[in-house]
Amino acid sequence: MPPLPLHLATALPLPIANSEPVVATDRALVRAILDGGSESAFVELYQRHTPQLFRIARRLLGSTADAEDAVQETWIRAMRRIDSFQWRSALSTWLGAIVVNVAREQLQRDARWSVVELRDDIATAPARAPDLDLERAIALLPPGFRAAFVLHDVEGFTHEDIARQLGWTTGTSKSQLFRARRALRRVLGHPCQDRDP
Amino acid sequence: MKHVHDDEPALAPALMATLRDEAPRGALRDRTVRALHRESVFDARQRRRARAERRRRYALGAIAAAALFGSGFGAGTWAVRRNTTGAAVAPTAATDGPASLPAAAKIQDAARSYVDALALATADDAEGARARAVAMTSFPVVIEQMVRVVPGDLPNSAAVAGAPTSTSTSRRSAAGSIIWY
Repeated sequence: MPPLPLHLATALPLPIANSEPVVATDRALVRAILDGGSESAFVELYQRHTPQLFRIARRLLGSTADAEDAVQETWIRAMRRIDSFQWRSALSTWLGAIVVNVAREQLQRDARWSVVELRDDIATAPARAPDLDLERAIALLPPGFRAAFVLHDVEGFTHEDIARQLGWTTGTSKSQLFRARRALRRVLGHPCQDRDP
Repeated sequence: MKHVHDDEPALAPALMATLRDEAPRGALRDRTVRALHRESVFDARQRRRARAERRRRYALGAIAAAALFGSGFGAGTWAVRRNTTGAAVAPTAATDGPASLPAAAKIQDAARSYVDALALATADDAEGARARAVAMTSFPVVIEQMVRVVPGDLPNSAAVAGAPTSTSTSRRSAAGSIIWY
């Protein structure tokens, strides 16, 4: 593992007496990878962002093994294109977009990706199942619903981010989320309190 | 977990809290790092080389684009200049060549003098008489030059036939023979 460049060595988390550790910004870490090929800077980035990437992939793909493959592919694609990243958004948003695309490609390959646009979408959700928790209920959703719900309600992305990531309009993102929530309430046996958007 | 900017009711926080967060296995990190080594992500020299190559390609592209633009611009300028010159030369060539250019200028000057003199010719004082004399002198000059430029033009010939001579002295006859265009 090559040593970090001097200007970054002070930026990484170091136990400094009587003070908070200084945390390197994503940008400094990326610069260390670009300029010095720093593996330790990559590992720092990896540890910072992988939990979220894995959560997204795991919920979109439904399988731990698939999610791990998607996360690995996400990092490979990100590092190939990191030179061209303009920092107009947060690195986490950019990585989120990549993992969503990787997951979507995988679902499309398996012919499992679909966006349910129809009014009778609720009919596609199973009726109330006893002892079903939210995690398993999410797994039962059609992929379009699942993506909207996971990205918006679980990971906190905005509808604009989701629309960009998935190639939707913000209206589609909102309607998918609305229907996802209604389907989840139905599956989990909660009364449906939603109104049409 | 955030629920913001949304006009739809979100699922209850208590329900959302039941989500279980799994972590990827530790082997995933090593696997990913190995894959990135294979991609030469950590080979700074190769990365720099790739970046230099990319910059070189961008520079070559920019130079090619500038050259293309410059040559297009030059060709366009040349074509416009050529057409403008052609347009200026064409009427001359249609009459009697470049020699007619001074004749045209003379026509213009003489006609201007003629029109200026006409504006003053109605006065009864000495200035009016002088203006009439100028008009009488300049009109034949205009006609002569017009005939030189376009010899076969019938109205010109008729004008020459009806044009007064500069020797006319009668004020009435002079005023009567003024031709208004």
